[in-house]
Parts: sequence; C-alpha cells; structure tokens
Amino acid sequence: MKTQRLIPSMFHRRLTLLLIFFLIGGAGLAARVGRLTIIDHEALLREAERRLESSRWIETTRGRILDRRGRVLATDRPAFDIAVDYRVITGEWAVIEAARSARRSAGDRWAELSPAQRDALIDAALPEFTAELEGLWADFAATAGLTRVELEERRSAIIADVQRTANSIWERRRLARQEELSRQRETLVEATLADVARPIREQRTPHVLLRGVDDRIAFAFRKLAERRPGLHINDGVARAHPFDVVEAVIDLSTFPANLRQPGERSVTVRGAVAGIVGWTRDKVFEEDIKLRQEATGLAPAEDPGRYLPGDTVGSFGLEKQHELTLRGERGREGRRLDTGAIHRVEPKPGADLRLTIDLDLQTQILAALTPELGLTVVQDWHGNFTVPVGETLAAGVAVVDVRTGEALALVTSQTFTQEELTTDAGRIFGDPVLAPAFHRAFDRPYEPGSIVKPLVLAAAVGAGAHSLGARIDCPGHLLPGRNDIYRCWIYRDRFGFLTHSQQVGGPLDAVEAIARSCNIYFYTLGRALGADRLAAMYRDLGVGGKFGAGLEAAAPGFIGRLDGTPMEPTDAIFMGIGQGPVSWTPLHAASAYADLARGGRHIVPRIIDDGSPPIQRDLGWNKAAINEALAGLKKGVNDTVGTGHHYTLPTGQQRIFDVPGVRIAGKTGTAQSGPIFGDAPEGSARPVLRSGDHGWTVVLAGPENGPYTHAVAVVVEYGGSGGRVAGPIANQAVHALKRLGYFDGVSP
Amino acid sequence: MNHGAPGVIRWNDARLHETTRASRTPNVLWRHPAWICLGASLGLTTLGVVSINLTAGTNAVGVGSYALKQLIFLPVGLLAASIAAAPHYKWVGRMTPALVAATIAMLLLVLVPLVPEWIVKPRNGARRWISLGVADFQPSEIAKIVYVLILARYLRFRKNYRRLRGLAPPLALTFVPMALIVIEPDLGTALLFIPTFFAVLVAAGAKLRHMALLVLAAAMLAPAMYPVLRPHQRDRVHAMWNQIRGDRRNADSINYQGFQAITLIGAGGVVGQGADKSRAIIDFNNLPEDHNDMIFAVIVNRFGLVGAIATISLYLAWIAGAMLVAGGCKDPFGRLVVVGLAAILGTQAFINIAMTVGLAPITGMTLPFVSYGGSSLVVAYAMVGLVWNVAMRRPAYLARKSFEFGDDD
Repeated sequence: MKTQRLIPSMFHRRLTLLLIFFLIGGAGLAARVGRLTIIDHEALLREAERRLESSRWIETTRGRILDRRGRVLATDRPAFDIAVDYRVITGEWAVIEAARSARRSAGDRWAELSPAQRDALIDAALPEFTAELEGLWADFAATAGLTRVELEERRSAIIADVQRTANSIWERRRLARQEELSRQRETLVEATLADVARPIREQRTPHVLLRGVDDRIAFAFRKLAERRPGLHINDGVARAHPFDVVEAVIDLSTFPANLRQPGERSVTVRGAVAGIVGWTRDKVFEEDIKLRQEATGLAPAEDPGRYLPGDTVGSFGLEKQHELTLRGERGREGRRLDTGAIHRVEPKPGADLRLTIDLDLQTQILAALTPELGLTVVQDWHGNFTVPVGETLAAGVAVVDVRTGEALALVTSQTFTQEELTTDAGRIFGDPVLAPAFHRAFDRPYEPGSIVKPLVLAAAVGAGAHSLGARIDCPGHLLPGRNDIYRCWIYRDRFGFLTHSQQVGGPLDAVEAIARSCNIYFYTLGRALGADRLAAMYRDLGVGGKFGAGLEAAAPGFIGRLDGTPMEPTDAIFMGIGQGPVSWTPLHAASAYADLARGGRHIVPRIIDDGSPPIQRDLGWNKAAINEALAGLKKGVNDTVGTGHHYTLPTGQQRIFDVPGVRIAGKTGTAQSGPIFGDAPEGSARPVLRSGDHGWTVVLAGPENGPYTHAVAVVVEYGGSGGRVAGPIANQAVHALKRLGYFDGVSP
Repeated sequence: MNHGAPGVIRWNDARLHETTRASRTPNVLWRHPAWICLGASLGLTTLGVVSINLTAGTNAVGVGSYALKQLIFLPVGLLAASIAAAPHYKWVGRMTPALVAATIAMLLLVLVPLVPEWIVKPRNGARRWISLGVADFQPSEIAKIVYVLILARYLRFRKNYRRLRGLAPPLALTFVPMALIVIEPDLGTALLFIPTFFAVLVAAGAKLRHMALLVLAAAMLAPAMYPVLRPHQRDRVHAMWNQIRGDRRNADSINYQGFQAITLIGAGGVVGQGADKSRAIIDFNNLPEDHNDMIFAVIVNRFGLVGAIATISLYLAWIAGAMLVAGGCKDPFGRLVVVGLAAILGTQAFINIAMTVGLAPITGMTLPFVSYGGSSLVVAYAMVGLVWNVAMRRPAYLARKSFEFGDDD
C-alpha cells in the first residue's frame, strides 16, 4: 500500500520493479567482475602473461664419467644426427612424386582422365623415383659406413616404431570418436579406424637414421642432401667414449712358460670399462619419467630436468644407476612477445662421476685376458676335464685398494665396445656360455671355494669356536669310518690317498692348514662355528648386502638355502670350505682379503669417489688369528707345499707368482658349479654347453718390505683348478699393479 | 459551428480541439529521455570500436579492419534508427501483422533444406543467415523486434492476460518464433524471448502471482528439459558448472573459451592494463571471438573493473532511459514496445556479460552496440530508433493512461 502511495501509477510501479530487477542483475555482474579483477587478479594476470612468453629449452650436457686419474671415460660431444623424411623411409615419397610428375605431364588433361588412366601415368613415372630412392639408400649406406642390411634394419625399426605409435594413437582417437558419436546419437555407434586414421606427426616428420656423426660424415651428408631427397642434417649430441678402444702394452715374458714370448706386445683392448660405465639410449620410456618423478618429487611440468622425446637416458651401468646425477637440467630462454625482453635461465650441466677405477690398470689386466694370449683359453696343462683344450674361458678380476677399500679395477674378460652394442648384439646378449652382458667381477656370484678358509679361521677364533693353538688332525675325511664323504681334497686316488697329517707328520696348525688348504681342518672349524655364525661372517663381509657408491646394481651374493629352509650342520661343514649355500663375487672376495690385510676392519667397496669417507666397521676378529691367516696365505704362495705356489707344465714346475720386489700372500680355490644348458626342442634333453668347477685365486700384494696394499681376486668360470688357471691371471694383475707404480708407496 | 450543449464534449469537439492543439504545438518533441538511450548507445559503440581495435593484434598498424568496419556500420545503424523513428509508431503497429508474416517467412526460409546455399548459407551446422550479397543477416535479429511489436499490439487493449488462462495467447505468440529459432539452432537468441515476455506482461499489469507461478513452473520444468538439450549444449552446461567450481579439467577443451575470457577479465584488475600490454595479452591469449561475443572480456582487460562498471552502467542507463520514455508515454502500444525493447536489449547484454564472466553457459550471442557485427549493430540502433519514435511523439492530449489497474497482484 505504501508503494502505491509513493508511485500512484501502477504502470510506473511496474516499470520501477523492472528497473530494480535490472539494477540487481547489473550489480550481480559487477560483483562477479569485481571478484575476478580484485581477488583473482594476481593469479589470472600471471596466467595471461604466461602466454606472452615464448620460450625455448637450452640443452644441457650430461655429466662426464672419469677414471681415478681424471681420464674421460664417457662424455657428451657435439655431433650431428642424420634424419630422413618418414615418407622417404617408407618409400611413399616415390609414389607421391610419381603422381605429381604424372599430373604435371598431363597438364589440363588430368581432370578429364579416368582413374585407370591416371594410375597408368603414375605407374609409368614411378620407376624414375624408385630408382632415385634406391640411389639415396646406396649413397646413405656408403657415406654412413653401414651395410645395406644394417640400413634396412634401421629403416624397418623406425617404420615399426612409428606404426606402433600410430596404431596406439588411432585406437585412442577411435574410442574417443565412438564415445562422442554414441553420446550425440544416444546409442552405441561403432567408430572404425578409417574414421580417425589421419597421419600422425611422426608420419610427417624426419626420423634419425644415424646418430652422433662427426663433422666429416656430416659434411658428406650435406653434399649428399643437395642431390638426394628427404635428408636432414641436425645438430645433436653424441655420448663419446674416448677410451672405448685402446692399445695396451703387456709384457709377455711374465706369462706361463708355454705362453711366454719375449718382450712387450701391444694389444688392442675393446670396451675395457663398457660394462661398468654402461650405455645410454635416445628413447624415453614411461618408466624413466616415473622414476625421475619419484626421485625428485617434482611433477614433470615443474622439473627442468624432465624428459623430452629423444633425450639421452642412461640405459645400463653407471649411466643408468646415476642417471639423476649425470642428467643435468635444461636451461630456458624466455622472450616476451610484447616487449622482446629476453629472460634466460642457464642450463645446469650434469655432475661428473669420478671413479676409483684406474683405466690403465683395467686395460692392462684386460689385455692379459685376451684369448689370443692364452690365459683365458683351456690349455692341456690345466687339467680341465670338462672343457676342451682351446676353448675360451670367461674370467673376472677385482682389484681393491686395502687402505681405502676402493675398487681399482673390475675386469671381465668378455667385453664389447659401445658400437658393438648395436653391431654385435647377438654375441653380447645371446651367447649363453661366455655371456658378455654379465660382468664377472661384480655381476655374477659364485661359491667361494677354498679361498674363504683364512676368513673362516679369523671368524672362528674371533667367535671363540676355535683356539688358535689347537691343531687338527687330517685323516683324509672328517667322519671316522666314513671315507666317502667330507673328504679332504688331497685324499684321492690320484694323490695316493694322502692326508695332510701324513704330509706334515701330525695334526695341522692354522698356517699349514691354510697353506695346504686342508679341508678337514676347515670342516672342523665350520662345524664348530655353525651355520648361523658362518652366515653372520659372510654378512659382515658384505655378502647379501649392498656395496658402496657406483655398485648399486652389483650382485649382492647369497647366503642360505635356495628353498628357504633353515641351514643345517651339514651346511656349516661345507660352508667352512666355501661350499654349500653361499655365493659371492670376485669383488666380495678381494674386499674380504683386504679386510684381513687391514686387521679385521671392513670397508664397503665402492667405485665412485664422491669425496665422502668410506663406510667401515670392525669385524671383531682375533688379531693373532688374522696374523696366522696371513702367515698361512704367505706360505701358500711362497712355499713349495702351498697350493698357490706353482703349477706344473709339461716342461716342469713354474711358480705362479713371480713379481720381483712384491710381497705376496694368497689362496687358490675351486668352486663347484652347475652346468650351463642350451636350448632344446620340447620333450628332449637340453644339451650341456659347459660344466665343471670355477677356479679362484685371491692374493694380497704389497711392497716387499711393507704392508699388503692391494687385494686381487680372480675367478675363471669352468676353469677347474684355481692355481693353474686363475693364478697366472692374478699374477698378471699384480704385474700390472707394479708396472703402474702401485707398490712404490704412492697410490696413483 | 454548432458546439452542442455546454459542458458536453462531442466527438467532433474533441477532434477540433486536437486539431487546434496540433496547429499550436509541434507533434514531434525534441526534449525527451530517449536521448539517454542514444547517448548510452553511442558510448557503448565507442567502447566497442576501441575494444575491437584492441583485438587486431600486436602487429596491426593504425585502426584494425574490424574496428574500421564497425565505424562504417555506425552510420548505417544511425540510418536504421532514423528509419525506425520516422513513421509514427502507430503506423508501425498497423504494419506489424505484415512484418510478422514476413519474419516468419524468413525464419521458415532458413530452415528449408532445399533453399540454395547462395541464399541460406549454413555455418557450423546452423542455418541462421540469409545472404544479401554484400552482407548476411539473421532473420532472428529482426524477429526480436517484430516479436516485441506483435506482443505489444496484442496486449495493448486487452485485460484477459490478468487471468491465468489469458496468458496462453501471449505465450503462444512467444513460442512460435522461439521454436523456429531453436530449430536453426540458435538457443541463445531464442532464450531472449522469455524474459521479454515476462517484462512486457509485468509492465502491462499482469498479476505478479501469475508471473511467479509461471517462473516456478519453468523452474520445475527446467531439469526435465535437460535431456532435450543437444550433447554440445549439455557439455557447455557441465563446463560452466566446472568453471564456477574452479575445476580446470575442461580448460583446454570445451571450456577453453570460458577460461580464456575469465583470464583476460581477471588480468585487467581494477583499472585495466595499458593499451599496448592489453593488446599483447589479448593477442597472445587467443580468446576465440574476442572481437565479437567475448568483447566484454577485452573491455575489462583494457579498462578493468572500472570499464566493466561503466559498460554495465551504460546498459542500465539505456534501460532507464527507455523506461522513462515508456513512463512518459500514454499509448499502450508505445509503452509496451519500449518496455519490450528495453527488456530484450537488456537481457541480451546481461546474458552476454554473464556468459563472459562464467556465470552462464556460452551461447553465440553478441553484446549489443559493442560486439563487432553489422546486423547486430543495425538492429540495436533500430531499437534505439523505435524508442525515439515513441519518445518524440506527443501523447494524445486526452488519452487515457493505459495499464492502470487497481491491484498489483
């Protein structure tokens, strides 16, 4: 009523009502704009300005991998990638060009021609362009130094890869299209691939057929691109390995007599550190992105080091294990599109990895393992009953610095270069016997065999399971009345069923037991220690645990029964002589001997020198026992009664270790092993490709009048006798250490 | 001359009086509130030309082509306003049935599939445009004005719409053009008819409770209409809902336009960005239809909240001016025509702004006087002309004021 009095006219009241309605609407809209322009202003302005910036990545460089003397084992170097248009790779280019040519030649008549007539014209023009492509591939292969077969394999791989990607994208598009159509028509509509199979980006762009070529080859390709279709020479980066193939000089006069040659010889060593350094690839997998995200905690959009297609990714070895360290972060150059101002964030190069490995030592030891020189080939005097004479043996060598625990050399006899990864992949990944893909120094565990005996002594005395003064009788077998089990290695027909007690004229002390490698002595210690304490000893030595930096992917070794059942006293007896349910690598063995030389202090081995102090712990061993063990080891290689003293050639006995001016103590061993089987058709027995025992030798070496400074462990797969097969290799490793000045008092 | 009995005004006396009055005072008034509408229209057009020019990109030199064309359309619009203002609105009222017939014919023409494409050219699956050779025009734009005319003509002397049943004929009048426009499809334009219907009925004195009942019924029916919506329309409703909630899932797909508009608006701040920076932001943010349906985002980016309030105020001024014209008019047809035009123009402006700021689903709808586009501008100025038409005609001296009923509800 009051309103009516204020505005007498009803029409005017209604107009007022409408005006108020519009005023309220206007105020609501203004309030919304106010919220956006005041409360949300900062965020939305940032969002809007983000689009004012055009930015490009600035490539970073991957960190280098250096040896202990600073030599570059792996580095990025500027290079060129040779790419070819996808339509040229598939051959579709010839058809397209033939069609163009036919259309040109037909001129205005083209529109009047029937499809069959057009096809005939195209077919007539096709040979010219097919020949052009053929010429391109011939020139490409010649310029790249590839065979046509290799080139065809690369083309096929790219076509297959692109096709896979296209199929995946098309399927996603098809499902999306199907969903959209079904939603629009409100019934299930099947979409076909034909509806969505438009060429994807990868089908229109060039693909790299040859990566990381140098200036000379790139220049040749530039010339080629002037007369051949579809070639692109792009700037790129190649991972270079300057020491992938090196010449090593080796003194053959120190070899076993029948392999000995006068003077020095230069040996080409290939891939001396390839198995350690590893390799990279140029394809990023989902897994890489996920792993990086987990490691950095950053979403890809926030991570300047995130992966982009075509990035180099560590695929194996240190390149893979230390991908985060090596990778680096891209820089970014932003340009304001409105002002032209440039904002630059410099790239962060990947950090270098400095290894404890000495490339010289590595190559010299590897040179000695070259099959042509004979140490890794079965010789008639090896007495190998399972592998024929002349067959190549696979060996692994680990050299550890006693003072620091660092690995100075980790050598495997079967190596390959980075280039051979693609050219000789069949041998590297397909040979079941020599298996180059496995690194024998740290990648494959073996039963320790007798080399563990001095360690068992130290542990047994330390644990109170054995008194150092106590002597043990060796009657040839452990159990009275049972000469068929737990026998000593010497108690055999071919040795006339000798016993060590007979040899020494009574029960053995620790020194004799180690030097002569008496099984009965250590069966007894094993039984006294028990399986649990033996397992603890192995664990203390790092078996089943983790190595230090750079050895993250190394085999940890194994303790315990494979079926998981508890170990029994019989296991303990065998573990006393390094058999039974335990396995380790040459790196474990060298490290354990270094622990012995250090007086019972364990240092976790590593191959990356990151400046941090080594991880170490006291093993709680008895010092007197350690001295006894070391004395036994010394006697074992320096006394004629020692198992590591000599081997017998047709020409007579020869000392295993003959490095002048070097103090040596060591132990040989033989480890039982299962055979390697080959493939066989289903239902038939698999052939045995190789069988027998692995041969071990581990030595401690040092200057003649000083402490032991280095531990060397050698395993030769299916080599049989440790002394005859692994011993000469260990001797060459010690020679190499001496040649390189490691016993001169200053560690290089 | 026999004047009859004293105190009784005869028919011929009144006519004589009118004739005498007409001879002493001019029929055309020049001082009237429609100036406010014209001023607001010119202000909005100026704002539009400046903003359209901002969308020309950072590489543009001088006045951009769209802005230039819009400037050229302005005199055409003013000419259309003059033409709309020239004949007496009552004459226009008499012509309305013919205009309705012509408009329905045109709306049907665009829907007939066999019509050659040189006459009706479908765009993006929609059949809305008739080609005139030099330009295209949308019959639905004409339909907006003609709808107001026919509704006003229908209601001018009636009272039956004050009963609930009486609302059916005007509703039917509304649904005919709406249905034809929805089929085109042009849901945005079709939706303008509903608020206009309510505004004109409210002004004509329809009972408010009946209006409320209709609104309630519509509100209850709205969810039932959801399944009738086309999938892309449903997607837009979902996208708008997501946008209001700050969910950016559709920011790069169906709701790209909405998010870009909001980004430009928010980036404007209170007083807007400088001309160069604003031009760069607009250029590189790639807002679709920035010169057209989304021009309000450009205005706010350049002139900020101040510009937004100024724009809304100009529309409110336009509406207020039209209301004053309607209030000053006694003729029922004139009154309702002006109210209807104000409602349709105001609603269009408000829906456009609401969709730009993310409060309504995006539909193809221009911002009157501001968005680039000849037919939109010409039709908007034709509305100004019609308001002027009513405003400058002197009301009949003894005319009874219309739509004065005793009760509001």
